[in-house]
Amino acid sequence: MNVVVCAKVVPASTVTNQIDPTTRRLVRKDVTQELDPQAAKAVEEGLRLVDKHGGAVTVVVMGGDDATIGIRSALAMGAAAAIHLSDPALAGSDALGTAKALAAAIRKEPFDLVLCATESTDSSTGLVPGQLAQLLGIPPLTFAIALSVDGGHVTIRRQSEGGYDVVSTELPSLVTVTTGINEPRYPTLKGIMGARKKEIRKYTAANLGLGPADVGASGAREKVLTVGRPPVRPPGKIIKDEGDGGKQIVDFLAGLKLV
Amino acid sequence: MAPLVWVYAEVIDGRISRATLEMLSRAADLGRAEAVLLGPAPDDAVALLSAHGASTIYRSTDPVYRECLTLPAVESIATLIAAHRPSLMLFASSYGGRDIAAALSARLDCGAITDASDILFRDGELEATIPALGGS
Repeated sequence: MNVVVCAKVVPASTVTNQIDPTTRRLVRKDVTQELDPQAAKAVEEGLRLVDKHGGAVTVVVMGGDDATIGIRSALAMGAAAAIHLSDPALAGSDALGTAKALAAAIRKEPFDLVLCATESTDSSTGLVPGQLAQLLGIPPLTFAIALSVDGGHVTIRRQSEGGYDVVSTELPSLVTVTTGINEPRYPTLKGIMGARKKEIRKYTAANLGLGPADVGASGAREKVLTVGRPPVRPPGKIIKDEGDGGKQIVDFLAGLKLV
Repeated sequence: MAPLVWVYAEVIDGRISRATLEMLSRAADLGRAEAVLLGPAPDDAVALLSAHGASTIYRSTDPVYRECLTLPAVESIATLIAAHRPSLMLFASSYGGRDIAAALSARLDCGAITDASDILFRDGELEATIPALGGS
């Protein structure tokens, strides 16, 4: 089976995220990048499926030149090939613009299953997978805590408010995986060496048939107006017990009409 | 004219969720509030939605909306939106709500904002407060 994994490359977890005050975007330039740990789970799940059923995993990443390091990580884990959507015209895309670019690239590939993280570690909107499935015209199964493929069907345990549901659909489909679904493998030395020889195909927005009305800041339907810090909470009241601590607490609670 | 604001009414564990009622109250502050209620719901659902500000409720009791996660709701809501043109539709940031909202934004080619903690209309545009960088 052919599995396409949508992955994001994000500032490494060791980096303190900064927002550029002019563009109001996350600073990605000159910052150490890594394969998003959430996306690594989707790569791992894809690799387990092809280990069992045969086939190949192709990773699709949208991002600047710095994203290559994360793409190589996915290839070193065992993905067979990668597609890199890299074009200044794509920078500043909103979730729907991103989904349009991913959909256009995935349509060029044979696929049975598309895997995504439930949400990225950096922007966390969680919108892209649902939008992508809609654009590809395939059913989305989200929040998988376990996944299996049998014949032409995919079945997941789907996290829910009260526990989990078992949900099944026909392939091709799109599944989003949660943090708890697996523990991603570490790349082996052989995998790391082999990754250098694997193919990374690059597409621009024009290659994908997308223009400024679809992608980039001009295509974004939302605009960040301001970025601020949350209001500072006033400090709590500290009561030191000097024999009348109990009374002070009761008086404090009575002042709030709680007792 | 007051904007028309729709709320997707969600039934969780056999009850209209608290988030649904909170969204309805906010929607009624912002403009004319209406609710969309799909699938089996408790007997008092309509009265409850109405008491929290819904002036109209679009309702179907078809169990397909419970049996299938996303697509029937997306199809139905897209059709309703095309007919009634609300300015804004609110969904809870729940497992089901986010899926439907995401699919609808792609279907209707419109913007989507997640995890809003406050919303208001200013000069015909929507302004929302959201956690930056996923709150980190």
